[in-house]
Amino acid sequence: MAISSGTGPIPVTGQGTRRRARGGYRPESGFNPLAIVFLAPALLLLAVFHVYPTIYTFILSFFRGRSGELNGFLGLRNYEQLFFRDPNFIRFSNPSLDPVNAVLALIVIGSLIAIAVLAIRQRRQKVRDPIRMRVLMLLGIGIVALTAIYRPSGALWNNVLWVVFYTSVVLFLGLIIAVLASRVRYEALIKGIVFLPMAIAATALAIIWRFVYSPDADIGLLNAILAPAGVGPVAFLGDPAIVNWALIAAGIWGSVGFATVILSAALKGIPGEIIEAARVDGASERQIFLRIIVPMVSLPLSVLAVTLIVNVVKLFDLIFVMTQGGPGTASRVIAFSMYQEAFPGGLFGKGAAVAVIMLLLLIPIMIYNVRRFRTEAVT
Amino acid sequence: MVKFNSKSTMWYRPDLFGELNAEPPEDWEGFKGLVQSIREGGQTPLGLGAGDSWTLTDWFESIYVRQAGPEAYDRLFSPEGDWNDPTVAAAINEMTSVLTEENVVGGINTALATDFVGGIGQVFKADPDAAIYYEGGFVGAIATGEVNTDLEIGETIDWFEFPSFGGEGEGAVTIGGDVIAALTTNPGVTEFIQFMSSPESGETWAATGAIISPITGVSTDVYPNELASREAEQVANASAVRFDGSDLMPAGGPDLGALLQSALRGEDVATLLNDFQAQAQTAWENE
Repeated sequence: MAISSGTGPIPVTGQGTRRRARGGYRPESGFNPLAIVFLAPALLLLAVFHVYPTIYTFILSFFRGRSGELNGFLGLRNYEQLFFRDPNFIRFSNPSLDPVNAVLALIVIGSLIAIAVLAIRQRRQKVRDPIRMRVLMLLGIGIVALTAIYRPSGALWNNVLWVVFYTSVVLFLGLIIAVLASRVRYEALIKGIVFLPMAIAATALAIIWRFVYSPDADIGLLNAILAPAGVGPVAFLGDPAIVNWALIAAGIWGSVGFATVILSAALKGIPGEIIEAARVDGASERQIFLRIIVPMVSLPLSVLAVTLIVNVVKLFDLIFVMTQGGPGTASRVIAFSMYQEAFPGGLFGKGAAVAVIMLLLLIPIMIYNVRRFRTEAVT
Repeated sequence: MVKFNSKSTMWYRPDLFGELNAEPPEDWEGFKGLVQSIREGGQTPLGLGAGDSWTLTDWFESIYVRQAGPEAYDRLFSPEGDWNDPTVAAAINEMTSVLTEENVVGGINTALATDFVGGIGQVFKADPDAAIYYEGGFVGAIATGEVNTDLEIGETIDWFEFPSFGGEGEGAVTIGGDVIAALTTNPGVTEFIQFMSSPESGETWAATGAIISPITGVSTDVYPNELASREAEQVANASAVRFDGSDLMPAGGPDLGALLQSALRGEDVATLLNDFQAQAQTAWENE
């Protein structure tokens, strides 16, 4: 997708500066005792409010944890239960041997073989980029076919749906709106309207969308629109097949404005001469967008992507207010499971185990983010 | 306990019943017949706010205590409870035989997206979508005080007793209520608890019409309307009174409400109960 094209074949200034910056900042060597004094207040706060709770949560996750205390040692049982015996957290269906699954299995195997073939060819020909795109596509097809066979469900899987669809749609719409808005006269007005949901508290946003999705056409805006067309009433939040998509749509509505404003600012930073030069060279609008604009905002795009992913992995408020993880347990996400197990359920150890899993999922993203901050002068 | 409500009250619209020539039923079979005749009369019989899954656990418990009897009820909600016992599936099947796609407003998916108060609205708004709404005695105060202040007791809102199955469970009533407990003996705490269990506080609370007071010495005259005083009478004359069973399950236990939501959607009850039993057992052991 758009982010990866930052490493495309055409060299742009953004990349040049990135390389140069890599060797830039080196901390001064040598130890200064005074530094400890200056650092102490911050270190103390970090230790009390970040380090200690993290370590405590980690240890708690091996216990039964009655009222949040370390009692009833269970070893790894909380984790074992979450991954293998808790359909609300993650469950894979037992695939049956039917023709559809056989075709899907062939697709998985086929894509694996194709990737292997491409990898071998790459060795020989030393063509890098086009092959990489194809490998990613094949990998995507393989993963989609695999999930169609095993039909995962549960909180962990719902979070995967959130990460994939919420993040990509927010980035896509944010970029499109930012680019299109910059070309019309009422840019400020358009951006103001798109940004408006950001001014609403998450809980209020969730309540608004509960009304919008209500199956009662006297309350629910969407069903009021669908009713004259003879459709419905659709229970957006009552049907397990729809509920996650309905929630993701509400989440997207709340975040597109944020992406638009950030990307719009990034677009303003692209020097006019570059685009002008491209135009003089005969580049089409499509080429300008794909080969100049997208690569030049790739850094803000990736920062935005990371921010959105982190927000979505710890997503809680929207689910809590809109569905309480329901109907049944169909719309639970990781953070909701953590709350549900620990507080209403009273299983603080199991809740802590969910929190640890969440932390482990976030660590790679954080490492990526910290690396970027270190190597880039981020706008 | 400082206050409670009966959960064996079936709320209905007397005006709609009049139009349809319907009468409150004698027993469960009569209730099923009533629901069917309302539907055949062109009216959706039942409102349902199953988005709040506890409304379903109340359905289940009210059926179970009357069908299987209070002793079986006590056993089920204890560490010895066996959810694979045929009485459990029987009660769930009775529930889903009434709460069907055709019988509830907008069908099952709509019910699953409607909350408890929304369900009250389906029946007690000015232009009702359904004739009957089952939930505890507290429906009366919410319906008349918040949902629709134009409701007239006996004209547009009333309740009849949850239908009986005969046998042991005849006249058994489920209740939901609040318990008061002190964690310290600091000055004022004991006095507060004493006050909360005095007739004075009980009468103040009962006069709101939202609750029934369990405190002996609270005069039955304080109930502000006939809905509440009949509710108090129902519990006082009940053959057996049982506390809301899903509130007696261990905190880390499986979610009965979620199970019933799945059952309502047509998932296999035996499989659901089998999983539930395994999780319930673990939860009791961890308790």
